[in-house]
Amino acid sequence: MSRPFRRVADLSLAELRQHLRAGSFALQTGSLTSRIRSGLPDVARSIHVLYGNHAFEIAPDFSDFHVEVRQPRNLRRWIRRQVEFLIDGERPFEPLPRDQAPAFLEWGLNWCIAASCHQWITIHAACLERDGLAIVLPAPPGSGKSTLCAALSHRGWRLLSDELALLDPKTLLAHALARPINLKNASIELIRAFEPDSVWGPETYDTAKGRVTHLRPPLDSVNRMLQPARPAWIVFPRYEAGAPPLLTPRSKAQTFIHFTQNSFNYGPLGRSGFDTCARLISQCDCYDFSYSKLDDAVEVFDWLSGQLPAGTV
Amino acid sequence: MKANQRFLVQRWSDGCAVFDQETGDTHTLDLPSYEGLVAMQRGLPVEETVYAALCSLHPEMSADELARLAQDCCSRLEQSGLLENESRN
Repeated sequence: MSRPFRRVADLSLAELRQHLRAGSFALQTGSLTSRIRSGLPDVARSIHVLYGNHAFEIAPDFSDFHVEVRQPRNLRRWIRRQVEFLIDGERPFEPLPRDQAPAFLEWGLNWCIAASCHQWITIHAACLERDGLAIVLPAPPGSGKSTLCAALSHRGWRLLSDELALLDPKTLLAHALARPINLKNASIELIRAFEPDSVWGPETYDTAKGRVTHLRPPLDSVNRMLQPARPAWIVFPRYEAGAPPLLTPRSKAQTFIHFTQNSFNYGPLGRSGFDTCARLISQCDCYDFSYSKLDDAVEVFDWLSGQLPAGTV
Repeated sequence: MKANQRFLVQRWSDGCAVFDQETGDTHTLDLPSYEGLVAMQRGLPVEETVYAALCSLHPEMSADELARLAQDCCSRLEQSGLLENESRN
């Protein structure tokens, strides 16, 4: 990067809180800038921990999103306390319990991207890169996608995104966000044991997904978050208790259907969406992958990264 | 990818994806069904075309089995709105 920038960790927590209260703090994740306002101390602490390596600006001329996490201005500020997420002053969701504020910011930012970034095809998928080639892992909730993504991102794969694969219709490149990885329930202890040095945000209990927390993305993923990568593999992961690792080629036609079912904006993009997904799937090798042990999964993906896909020139 | 008046098609060795520009719907087809779709666009008999495609794919099957498969393919094309009834024969 030619322009010098400051990382969030360069700010003291008190300074960060001050900028968040003033609504002047703008966080860079990939090529997107989110201006965030919040007077809530736990939101500030979470940003300080999870985004310590990310670049930020103060009151930039332009931001992609203007969001706020705050307590409602009614009785729920005091009784059975709640928190709400706003974008451009509008509230797209019902409020959540007050202790879910840090997680609400993460989910809200996901929604902002999925709902408005139609310069890309956005897929509900994890996306990682190795040696310039990207792997896309689309999957419904509960499939073990984020757990696998967290493990791979600490074993030689660069994290592009845990939740949203951003695919450029012109270049077919996958763009990075390098945002924290959302983990829940038993996956939290699994990854804590798998990567003891990992850094975590606060845990939140009794959410719609159970117990959730976020894992800070590895430094290299953040440093290289402006580098896109060419997708070479599409793999549908599935966690199965006790299952041996099994990587099975899958039909491209079936991949097309399941891939587009995981897209947030395939329908609205119409012909362009079809064209993009068709070309993307044509250039990728497609698989199903079932697993139960992370070490086995890492070994399989290491092997896969050594196999040049059929579409590679 | 081939473009024509109504359908965009991406064909692979194991099937194809079809985007219907009139409805905005996407479908996946096996290759014999795709041949049927092409036949419809060219004004050729669809079921016969599908039958011929199935014959070359499954030479081990009996004529009855192939005819039943061809009917199934055409029915699926009709149900998905890709094929009008009158185009079938």
